[in-house]
Amino acid sequence: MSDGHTPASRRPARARRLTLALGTLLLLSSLSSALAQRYSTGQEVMDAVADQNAPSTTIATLSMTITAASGHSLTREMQIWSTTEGPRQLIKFTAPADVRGSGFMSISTAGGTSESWIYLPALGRVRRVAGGQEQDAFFGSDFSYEEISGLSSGSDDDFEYELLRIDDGLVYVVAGTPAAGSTSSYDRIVYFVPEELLLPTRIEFYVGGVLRKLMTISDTVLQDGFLLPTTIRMETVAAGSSTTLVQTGFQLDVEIQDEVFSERFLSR
Amino acid sequence: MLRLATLTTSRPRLFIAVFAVLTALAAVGIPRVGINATVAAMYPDESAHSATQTLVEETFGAGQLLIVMLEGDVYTPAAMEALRGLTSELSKVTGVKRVTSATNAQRMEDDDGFLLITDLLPASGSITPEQVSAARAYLETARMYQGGVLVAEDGGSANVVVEVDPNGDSDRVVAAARRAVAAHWTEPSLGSAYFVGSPVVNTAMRGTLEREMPLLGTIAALLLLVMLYLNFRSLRGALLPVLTVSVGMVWAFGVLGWLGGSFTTMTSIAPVAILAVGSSFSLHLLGRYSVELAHGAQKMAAIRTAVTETGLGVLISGMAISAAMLTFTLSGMPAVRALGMLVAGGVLASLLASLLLLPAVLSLLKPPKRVSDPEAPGAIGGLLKRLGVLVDRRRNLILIVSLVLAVFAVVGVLRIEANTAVLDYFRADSPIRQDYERVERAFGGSSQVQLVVTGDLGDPEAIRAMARFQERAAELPGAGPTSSIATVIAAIHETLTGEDGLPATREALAQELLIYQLSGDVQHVSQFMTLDSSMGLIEMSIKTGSTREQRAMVERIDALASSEFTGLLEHSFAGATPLQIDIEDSLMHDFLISLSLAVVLVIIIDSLVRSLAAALVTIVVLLLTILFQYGLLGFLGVPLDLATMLLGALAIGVGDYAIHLTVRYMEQRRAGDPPETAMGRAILTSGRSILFTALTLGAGFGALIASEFVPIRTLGSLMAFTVLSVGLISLTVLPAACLVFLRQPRGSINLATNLATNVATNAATAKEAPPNV
Repeated sequence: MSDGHTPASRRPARARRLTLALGTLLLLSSLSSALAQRYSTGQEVMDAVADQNAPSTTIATLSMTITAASGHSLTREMQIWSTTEGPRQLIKFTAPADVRGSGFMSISTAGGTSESWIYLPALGRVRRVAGGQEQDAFFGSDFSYEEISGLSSGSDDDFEYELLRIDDGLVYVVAGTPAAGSTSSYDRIVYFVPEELLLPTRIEFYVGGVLRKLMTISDTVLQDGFLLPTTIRMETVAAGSSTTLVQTGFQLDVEIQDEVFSERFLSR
Repeated sequence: MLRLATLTTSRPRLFIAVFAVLTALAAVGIPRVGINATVAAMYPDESAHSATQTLVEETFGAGQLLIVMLEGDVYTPAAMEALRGLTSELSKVTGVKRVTSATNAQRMEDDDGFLLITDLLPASGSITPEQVSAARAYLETARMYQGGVLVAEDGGSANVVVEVDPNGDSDRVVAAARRAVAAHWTEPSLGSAYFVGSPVVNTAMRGTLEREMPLLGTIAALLLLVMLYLNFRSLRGALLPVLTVSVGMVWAFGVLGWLGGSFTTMTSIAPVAILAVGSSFSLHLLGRYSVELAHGAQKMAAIRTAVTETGLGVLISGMAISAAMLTFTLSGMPAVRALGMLVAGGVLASLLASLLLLPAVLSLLKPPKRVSDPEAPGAIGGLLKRLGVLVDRRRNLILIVSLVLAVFAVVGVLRIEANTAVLDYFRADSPIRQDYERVERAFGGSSQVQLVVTGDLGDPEAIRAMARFQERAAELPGAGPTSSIATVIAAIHETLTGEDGLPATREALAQELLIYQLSGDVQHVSQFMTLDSSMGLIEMSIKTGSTREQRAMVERIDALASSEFTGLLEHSFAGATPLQIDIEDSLMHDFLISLSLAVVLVIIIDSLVRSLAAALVTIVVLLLTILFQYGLLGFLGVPLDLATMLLGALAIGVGDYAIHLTVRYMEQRRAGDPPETAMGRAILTSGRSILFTALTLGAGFGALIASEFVPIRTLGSLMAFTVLSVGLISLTVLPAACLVFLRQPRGSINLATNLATNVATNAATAKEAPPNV
């Protein structure tokens, strides 16, 4: 190891990020209808968002359409398996045909470390992957791991929240600013949280007072007692690109065999 | 003209008030004039490369490149931390799209069984010597960074590549980059910083333009005042032409402001051109006014005679200059069109002020107590008289010598080389040129060439063709590093398989691209290829040079691309280098069109009041001057550039004051003088005006010599040379040509009647015939 990396130190980054990101996407699916309750501070609102229940396992189909400013776009479809135990996640690409069968798996352990693997059918073997930053994009999209992680986690110890106002329809507008020592790449994040959903339906990400990114949740569905966001769009304002995630085919709280989270299943 | 003179002198206050109001209105528009000194402001409308450039910016998010080269021992923790701080600070600057340096470049390698995809160095915390060593090992061997893209191969300098939003404020970004370097690259062991790229050039051009516009105008105005004072020997004689030309300037620039126009590098010529040309109108009118007063005419009569007789020549001369300048409006370049309209507008406004405002002002002023007769015998009169005799005796010799010189000039013209490279606007010892030289010495090339390829980039054959092309292109002399999606895929393939090659199947290619997309954002993953794999970008840097060298390089690259891409990919060019070639092509077109059209227009306008033969003889003499001018360019090795290409049409228009001699000669011929007598008198009477017009114009254009822009300075030198040459040739070759080829007066019938009347009036009032001519 010429750069000082050790297996232990290289493990957490990408795997943990992916775990957190996918977990967050699935957590969004678990948000139940909100109580008719008012909150007096930003912290209370974000705590309420964070307190929503989540299914222990989720299987879903995810369609991700990335559109560049030029209008050129790319759509990839994938199947996701996720469990809060670990947590562990596995993604298998199903379309387009040339990447079908490619997969990505990440497993976190109780000790806080995680590992990830990638499988490319053309290479015919599973490779372990390391490296990456929280600010890295999520599979070449407008989402970063950091943004997806913070999507529904609600209250984050790294942030201080302030209730800016309450818009019509009881929508809490909460500004989050990173606390000292935070590694966030944003210096202000504004959440729009309707009280009836307790789910941010619009999130604005600022750097230096400039809106860098805008995320919106435009569709939700109620399934098995969970409010599931089905369409999430992230726009990178300056670049003019956007990514739309569409989640369908939810299977919630079903048993997922341990063998799913294995190199064998990944390469199958 | 007489009616006009009567009107202006009978209601002077009304005319002065109207001019004052219009000038005040125009003046309000002047602060609205912006400055656009970017190279993009010179792009031709019909440039195919400009369209491709827009496509590149929109499709690949490619910005203008600002490269900061930092000298010093780069591979140390302190240097890398400084580089990281600098990179981070620049990333936050508004208008910066992306910053890449050795610290945040991506590393992808097989690390002890792990596929490691990460930044080369950690984003925060201390950087250890081990991390620096690892980064060095990677940079020196990784395919994507070979050729010293980010760190020179000897480790003695590093590049920070800043992509700047083309629509952003490049001045601000460049200033921020300089501040960031000053704040971070401070260790004593670290060396100097050098800044290159389009944003730097644009900023330097803007800064120079802002400094120069007032400076050159002031120098030109002062030189004109001196020349005018020497001519008239009175403050009034010096200030009145400046008054009329100031009106012209305010109107021209005021209208430009109201129309939302901007100053460009090209339009920096305009104020000096308007000053020089515009003042010559009043010079002629005031000269004639002085002659009339000196010969005993009353003030009002002197004004009316000046306007009626000299005014007609001034009117035609002004129209000819404006017409010549308006030929620039046919240019494909907005900056050249703006220059043509601005100068034509300013000249026409100065002409109006000379013909309407000047008589009105003169009619309100008391006539000067002492009037020196400009045509009285004196040093200049004696010189002109001797000149007349010399021309009469040596007319054939003068013409033969001119012919021989013309042949030499043709040889010089054939030696001219075109070069419109923007960097050559700056002197070789200027900081920006020094920076470019230093960067190219370290990294090979700094001029940008981009190839847009369209086709099925999901096809491994297409990617292989791109890789082959890049490999061969890199071997071309003067070529720097190249990069494309093929470079990225080759690096991924090598990391994943350990093989030096490219994926063999469509699936393998798509899946290796998936790795590339694993942690890059949309802009990152589409910087070399569109998301749908239908279009790609190959970036190249080549050594900066003249446009001739750059054109040859682009042609070689084009041939190479055609041979490699046939049947697989279509390609087109973008980038700073092909755009400069477009600018040169457009300028060459403008040069030929404007010069030939200016010649035709001046002949037509001149012949309206005189004769076609007289116009032809005059224009041939003028063309001779222009031939000398371009011949001189060839012998001196001065390239045909942005400014010198416009020189021809400008000189045709400005130099048309030579026609005053022909007019005078024709007048005397029609009055019955034999050719030799008529010419002797013409030289004596018009010679002084021609001489001082030449000196005044020469002094005005000479102010451009103070410019920091090389083409503008060359233009100033050559225009000064041209107008002085026109003056000399007007008093030598033109009289000789008239005596040989224009012995019979001819002209338009209707206008000849007016002319004959004018001549008769002139003959009756002037009483200026030298006794021995």
